[in-house]
Amino acid sequence: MLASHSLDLTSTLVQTEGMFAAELGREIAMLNIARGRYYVLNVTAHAVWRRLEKPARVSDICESLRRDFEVDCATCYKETVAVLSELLGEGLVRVIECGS
Amino acid sequence: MRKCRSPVGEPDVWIIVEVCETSPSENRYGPSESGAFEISVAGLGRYLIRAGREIRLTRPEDASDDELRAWLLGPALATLLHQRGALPLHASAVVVDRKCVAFVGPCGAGKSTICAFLAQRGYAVASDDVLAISRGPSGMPQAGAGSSSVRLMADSLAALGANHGEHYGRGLLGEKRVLHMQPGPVRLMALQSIYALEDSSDCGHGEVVKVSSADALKIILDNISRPEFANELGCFECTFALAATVASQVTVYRLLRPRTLSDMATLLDLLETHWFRAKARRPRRAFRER
Repeated sequence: MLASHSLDLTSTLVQTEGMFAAELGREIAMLNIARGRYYVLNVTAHAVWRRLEKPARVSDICESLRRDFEVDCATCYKETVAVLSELLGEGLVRVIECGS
Repeated sequence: MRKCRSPVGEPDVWIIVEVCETSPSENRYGPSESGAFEISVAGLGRYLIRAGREIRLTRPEDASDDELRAWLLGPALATLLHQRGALPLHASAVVVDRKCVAFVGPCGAGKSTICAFLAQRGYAVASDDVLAISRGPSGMPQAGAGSSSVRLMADSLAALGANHGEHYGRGLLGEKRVLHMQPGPVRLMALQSIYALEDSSDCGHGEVVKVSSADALKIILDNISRPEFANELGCFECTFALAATVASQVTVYRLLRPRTLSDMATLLDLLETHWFRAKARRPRRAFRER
């Protein structure tokens, strides 16, 4: 399932409820019992995922990531949006629409 | 019903056997009216597993002891371990330098055969079929020694020079015979490594390949004993978390080897060499941390 949302710096996202997460070294394994599927998030995706426990804007996520990792602004934005699009596609995060 | 006093103190698990007139007419598993988890095997017996501490078996007098034992040490034990929050791995294992080395793979992959050949070289068999894995006091995965009897096909027995394997089975045992090995130590051991057996015709005499944590998790999840019971018991999240711990703390390898019994000595040499050469590798990082 592909996400229909087009993400930009102002998009706000949050983790989807009902996921079970287990540490897998520096990665993280996510179990979605309802779907009968599991996922392994690599270090980059894990870093993004951790920042979505509460609703966060893409710009805030990028700013937080750049505090912890040596990455330039353009690369960070590009990688973050790519990760978020994948997480959206798998239903691991959801977009919070304005006003909701 | 007969109760035996344990030689090492209060038993960890009670196994209570009761004789009845008839066996179940159909297979069934799931929660019973009494709150225990029930496994009924048509024509054999009924197991009630309760609270990770008790297995109550009801059987007719003439039911096959070996078949009953296979269900007890297989699905019934796996259920009990799920109830305890432990991970029942469908594996055969040996003891190497006081640590546990496990072999996983589908039925007929050769797990028991490799362990039986290793036993001939002096390694104690830690378990066959179900290996109990739990978290130790430090959080590291540990394995509990289980049954030291291995189940082998006739060609494996012949290659071992042990044609005296007991029982010509059916049902869960299939065509396998049971070979009773020298029991290993009755204790918990650190889980050193896991080898996933894979057939390969283009790997020479054999090849050992370390896998990533993500692939290790898949291998472990694919080899959980009776995962459907964990779902029925509502404890699959716990099982999943422990599987992730094992995948991140224990080194998991693919063991590629030609599917033949004639070159087993070379394969065992490869394994023994690998056990003394394996080194941890540093993880790769996507971003460089400050």
